[in-house]
Amino acid sequence: MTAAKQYCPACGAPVEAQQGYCGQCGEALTAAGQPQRTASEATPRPARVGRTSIVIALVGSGILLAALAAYFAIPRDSGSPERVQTTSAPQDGVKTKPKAGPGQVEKKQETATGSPGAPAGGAAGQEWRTYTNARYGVVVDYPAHIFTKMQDEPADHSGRAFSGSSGLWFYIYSHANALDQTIEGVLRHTLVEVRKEYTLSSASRTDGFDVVFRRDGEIIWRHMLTSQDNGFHHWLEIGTPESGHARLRPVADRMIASFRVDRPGGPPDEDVAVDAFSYRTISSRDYGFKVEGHPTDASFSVDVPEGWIREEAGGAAHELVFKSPDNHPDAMMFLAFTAEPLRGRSAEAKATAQAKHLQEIGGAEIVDKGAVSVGSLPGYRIQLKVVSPSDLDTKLVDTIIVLKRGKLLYTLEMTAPEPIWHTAGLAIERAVKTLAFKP
Amino acid sequence: MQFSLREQIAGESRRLVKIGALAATGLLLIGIASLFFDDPAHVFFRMLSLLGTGLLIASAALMVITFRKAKKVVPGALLVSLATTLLALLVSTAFMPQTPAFATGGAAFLAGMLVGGGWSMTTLYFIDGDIVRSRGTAWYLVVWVVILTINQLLGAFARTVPSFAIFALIVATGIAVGSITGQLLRYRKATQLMTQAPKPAASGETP
Repeated sequence: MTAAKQYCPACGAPVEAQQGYCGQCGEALTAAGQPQRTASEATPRPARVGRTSIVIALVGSGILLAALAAYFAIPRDSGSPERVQTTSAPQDGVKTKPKAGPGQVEKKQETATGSPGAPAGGAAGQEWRTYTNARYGVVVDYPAHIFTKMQDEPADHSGRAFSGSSGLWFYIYSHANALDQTIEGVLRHTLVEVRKEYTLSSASRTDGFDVVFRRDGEIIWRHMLTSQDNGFHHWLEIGTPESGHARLRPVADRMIASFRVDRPGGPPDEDVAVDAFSYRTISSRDYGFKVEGHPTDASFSVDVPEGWIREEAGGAAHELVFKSPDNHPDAMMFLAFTAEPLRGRSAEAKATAQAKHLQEIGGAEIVDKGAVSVGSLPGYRIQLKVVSPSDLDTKLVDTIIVLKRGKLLYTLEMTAPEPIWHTAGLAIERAVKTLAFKP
Repeated sequence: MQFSLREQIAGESRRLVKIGALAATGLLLIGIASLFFDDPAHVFFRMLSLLGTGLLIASAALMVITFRKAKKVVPGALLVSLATTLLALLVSTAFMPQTPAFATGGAAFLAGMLVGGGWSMTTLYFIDGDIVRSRGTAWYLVVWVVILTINQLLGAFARTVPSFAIFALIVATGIAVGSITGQLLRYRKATQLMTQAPKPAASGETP
């Protein structure tokens, strides 16, 4: 017996008699080709109205939840995605004439607020400092209250990285344009590196370019500056988590505005370095300085270089040691103040004993010595060159000045690598000049 | 004829491997063809972009044409699909520059699950002899269009935000997981009906 040709009553497609469903529209069929309300459907048809409601509720609530989650997941202050825009905005670049090739010694100067790039609405607690890379002469103002940590200096003295709380950081870095790259070429390379879709904005100038981009959940400002007719490239890069970048933007703008080259790359200009060394006045009392048995008359105030940190570890109450922020052996400097009872010794005897101790531990050689007087106080000064106990090639210079005051001997001692002694020596001279004893 | 779950998974895996091999061959051919141009990388990605657009249009057309057609439900294929979806999410997050917070990611996944669960309810399930079949309803198409539209709009306007890319991926994974889980549950219910209830005369078998 041949099966009669039948058609699906729902869509009209031809169906075989034995088909349980329509192959075209899926409508369930009876054996006679009639639509069936088969029990095979997990939910009977009368419930389909309710199921539609459930579907709408589920999908709608899902979309709503996704929108809510997206609202919190996507940083709102990043605003609408900025598109890549390349503009050409000439800027007065700092063009300096080369004096010499890149030098070998990096120095860093920090000055307090009032340095180039005056504070814009500096609120209480805000402190802006100026970082200068002495090797390349590049300068940037930065908020010391935000970027509180200065990282170790690289061995080639090419820059410095700073970091702060909440994942904030910035670094400056300089190098010679050894490959003779054009600004446009470097910009192109940067845009490829940061990827176009993560680039928020880019702008080229006659002396460099700016790129703002996203990376690993951060917003990064990358500012490139050239000097010496594109002979050197200087980079300032500031990073912040996306969630807080709107707050940092004015800070970044000011830092970028202050980023400049004060002098060409080369050996540090002594005058610039000396003049730029800033100081702060400290009181020994604030550091708990005291000499046993002389509780009242040991206190003094003195100027120490700005940014130098008191060495806490191992310090006795009658010792006050300040260290430069640099942790690289080539740039570490120490300025120490100690006081101890006279015990019948002269200033010369104390200074000589101290020098002898250094000679014993470091193979020091005395290069200068003699009596000095500081104000009305008699004293003795010895300068030595010390072979560092570390593996440093360079020698250290150590100056010891012992002053006799009442029943106490005060020792001022400065230690610094020989190549940067011209700056370090000024710190101890300043200390001697400003040393004032309190009644 | 019903196959065991293991056979279904193996069969689906073989199918995926075949598709993967075909896709890899296609990519290789496009790559070779690109080498004949001045800027091979540009041409390669341009062709990929065009191919992607073509595939999107084709898949949309195929969906509109076939969503009402009854298809055999193969739980093994659904399980393989579930596994590959989750694997894709894991691999993608490993290479993403950032991942969302647990709460945000969880909410995104849950949102996707809700949509996917709702989507899985927009199909009709049929028992055809010893086979379970399903076909989409108009709602199936509506939900699909909504998801596709939102996805494409977001892709067009928010693709530069990396955190959004991973967010969208998590939602999409949630949709897939919710949908597949819903289908598996309904398949289970249908098979239970098959074993519990006497075979109806109108089950599709010839009396």
